[in-house]
Amino acid sequence: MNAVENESRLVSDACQGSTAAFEMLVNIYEPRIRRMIYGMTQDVQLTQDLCQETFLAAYRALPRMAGKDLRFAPWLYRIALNLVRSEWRRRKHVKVVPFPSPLGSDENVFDEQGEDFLVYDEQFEERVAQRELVRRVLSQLPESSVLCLLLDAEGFSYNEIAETLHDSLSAVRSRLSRARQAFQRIYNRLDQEEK
Amino acid sequence: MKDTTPDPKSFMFRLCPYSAQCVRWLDEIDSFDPSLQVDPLSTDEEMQSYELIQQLALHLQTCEMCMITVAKVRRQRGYQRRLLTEFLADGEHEVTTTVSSIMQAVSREQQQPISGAFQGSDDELDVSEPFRLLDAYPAGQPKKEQKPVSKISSRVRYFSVVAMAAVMILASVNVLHYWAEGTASSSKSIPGTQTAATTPAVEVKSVLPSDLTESSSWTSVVLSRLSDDGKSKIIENYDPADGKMVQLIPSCCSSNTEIDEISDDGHNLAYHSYNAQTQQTTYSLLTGQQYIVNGLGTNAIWGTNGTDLYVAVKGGAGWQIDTNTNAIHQLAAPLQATQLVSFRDDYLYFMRGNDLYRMNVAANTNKSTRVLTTQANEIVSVDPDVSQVYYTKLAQDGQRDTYVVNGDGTDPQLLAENSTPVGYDNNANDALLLVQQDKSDNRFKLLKTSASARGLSFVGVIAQNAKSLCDDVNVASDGVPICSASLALSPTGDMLVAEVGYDNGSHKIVAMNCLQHTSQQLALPTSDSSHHLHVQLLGWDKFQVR
Repeated sequence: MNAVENESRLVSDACQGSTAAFEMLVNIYEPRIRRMIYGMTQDVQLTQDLCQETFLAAYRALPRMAGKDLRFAPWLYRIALNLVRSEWRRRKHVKVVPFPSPLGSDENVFDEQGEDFLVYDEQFEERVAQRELVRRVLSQLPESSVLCLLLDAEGFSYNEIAETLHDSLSAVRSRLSRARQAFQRIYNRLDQEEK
Repeated sequence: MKDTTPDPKSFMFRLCPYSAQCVRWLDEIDSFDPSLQVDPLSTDEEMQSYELIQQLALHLQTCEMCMITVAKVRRQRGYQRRLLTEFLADGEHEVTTTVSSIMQAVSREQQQPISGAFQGSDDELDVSEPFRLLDAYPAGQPKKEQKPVSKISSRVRYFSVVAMAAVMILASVNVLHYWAEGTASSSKSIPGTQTAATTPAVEVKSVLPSDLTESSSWTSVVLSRLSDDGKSKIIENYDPADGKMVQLIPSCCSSNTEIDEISDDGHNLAYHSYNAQTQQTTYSLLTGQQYIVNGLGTNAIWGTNGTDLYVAVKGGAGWQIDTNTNAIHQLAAPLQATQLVSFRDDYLYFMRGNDLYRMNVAANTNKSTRVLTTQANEIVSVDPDVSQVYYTKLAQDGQRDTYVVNGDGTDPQLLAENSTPVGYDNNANDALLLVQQDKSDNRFKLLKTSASARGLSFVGVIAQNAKSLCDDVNVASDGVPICSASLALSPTGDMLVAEVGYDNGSHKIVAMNCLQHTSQQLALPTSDSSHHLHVQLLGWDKFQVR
C-alpha cells in the first residue's frame, strides 16, 4: 500500500477535528474503499451506503485516536470490512461474493490439492479473464480468502493485511497462499466448464 | 489453463521437499533484503521466520526445481493480481462516488451535536430542529395540568389480552405524545390534555408471552439480535438456569430500534426508535405504553422507583414520565443533552457532548451543573450513592482505562488500566465491578472495588485465551476488546453473562458465577452459529420462563 504524502499530517489534523483534513482523506481513500466494498458485495446501493457509513464511523472515532500513531489505511479498511461483515450477518441474502464454496468453507480442503495447481499453463494468459468469471471464483471462496486476495491486489503488505484483519502474520501468510491456490483451482474449473 | 498438467513430478529435475515452503513464503522471499539486519526486539516467531526466509532465499539460488516452481507461481500470482485489480477497478467505475454524500453527512453530524460537538452553555436553548413543532404554539401558553389515569395492575397489564386504544396526549408543551394501554377498546384522550387533530388509528398491542411469569429475583438475561432477514430486532428473555428462552416482546421491533434500559424493579423495559420521515422518536415500554416526542430523542433511562422514565430531545428539552399514571412532566430547564446517563438520588445525570452534567429533578430547578469532562464516546457511570463517578478514557496505546472521581468532580484517579465498568453489586454496598484484560496472561478478569471505592479486589476469570469480550463488529471502531453490549451483570452482582470471542473467529456465551468463581458456557437456542452470535446483552430482568 503506497503511503500518501503528508498522510500522517492529514490524519493528525483530522484527529484534532479538522474537517478540511478529513475531506482530503475522504478524497484519497473513498475510491479505494468504494471499490473494495463493491468487490465484496457486488451491490451498488449497499456499497454506497457502507462507504458512507465507513467514513462517518471514522469521522466519529478519529477524535479518540492518537493521530501520530494511527495507521490510517488498515484502520479504515478494518472499519469497512467489519461493516460489510456486519451487513452479511444482517442480510444473509446479500452475500453475493463470499458465498461459501460448495465444497465447504473449510480452507483446509484446498490443501488437499497438493502443489499440482502450481503448474503454469501457457494458455492461461491467452484467455482473457472476464470479470464475471472472477466474480464467480470469488463467490466460491471463503470470506477470509476473498479479503486477503482483494487486499493483496490493493497492494497491502502482509503486515497491513494482518493489521486490517486483526490476524497474525503467519495466519495471513497461510491464508493468502491457500487463497491463491484455491482461486486458481476454481478459476480453472469454471473456465473449463464454460467451454 | 489446466488443472494438473504438466505435472511437476514429471520434470527431469529431482523432486525438492522445499518447493511448497518456497511457494508459501514467496512474497517474503521476494521482498527479502539480506543487507537488513533483523530487529533485536523481534519475537521468537519473527526471528524464526527471518531465518527460514534467509535459508529459503539461499536455497532458491541453487535448486533448479524450486526455481522453476516459484517462477511459475510468480507469473500466476502476477496474473491473479492483475485480474483482481481489474475486477476492483471495474467496480470502482460501476459505483458513483460518495464523497459529496459523505461530506454532507459529516456536515449534518457537525450541526447535530450527537457525539461530542455540542458547545451550548447552560442557559442556551437550541430552538432549531427539536422544537420545530413547538414553535407553532404561542409562547407563554399556560401549562395544562396532567390528571393521572387509573393505574392498571401489572398483572392485568401483563397477562390479559387487551386491545390498545391509541390515545395521543399533547403534553404541557405539545411536544410529547403518548399512547396508553387500557382496558377500553376505543380511542380516548386523557382528561386535561388536548387531543391531536390527527389521532392515530387504534393499535392493538400484544402483551407478554404467557410462558413468562414474574419473579422476585433477577432470573433472566435480556438480549437482542437481528432477525435472519435483518429487517427486525428481536428481544428475548433467556433464563440461564434452565436454558429456556422466549421472545420478550412478540412482533418487536424495527431494525433501527435502540434498546434503552430495564427498569430498576426488573419488570419493565424501555426502547425507542426514530422515524426520519416524521422526525419523531417513539419510546415504547414492555408494558405497552408508547410516548412520542418530536425530534431526535436520546436514550431513555429509568428512575430508581421503577416507574419514572426520563427522555429528552437531543440538544433540547427533557421530560419525566410517570409510567403508572402516564403523567408527563417537562423538566424545568432544557437539558440540552446528547445522552442520558442515570438517575441517582434525585439527580438526573446526562451528557452534553463530552461533559457530564447533573440536574436536581426533585427540586424542579432550572440549574444544571457540570460534574466532569470526558473524552468523546467514553463510558460514564455514576455509583448508586452518588459518592463516586467512574469513567473511561482511551489511552495513547489504544487501551481503555477506568478512572474514578468524587461525586462532585474532585480528586480524579486512575482505577484500573485496560478495563471497562460493567455494573454494581447491590449486595456489597454497590461496589463497582469492572472487566480488565490482562495482556500478560491473555485473560479477562472481573474486579470489584473495595469499600474505599479506590481499591480493587479480584473476583474471578471470565475467559482465558480469548480475543475479546465483544462482537467482532463492535470492537472495530476503537479497537478496545471489551464491549458493554457484550456484558450483562446481574444487579446483585452474583452472575455475569458475557460474549467471548476467540482468535479462530468463534464466539461463546459464558455465565460466570461471581460468588462461586465458576464459569460455564451457555447454549443459546438461536439460529446463529457459534461463529457469529451477534447478540447484544442488555441486562437482567425479573421474568422467568415457565
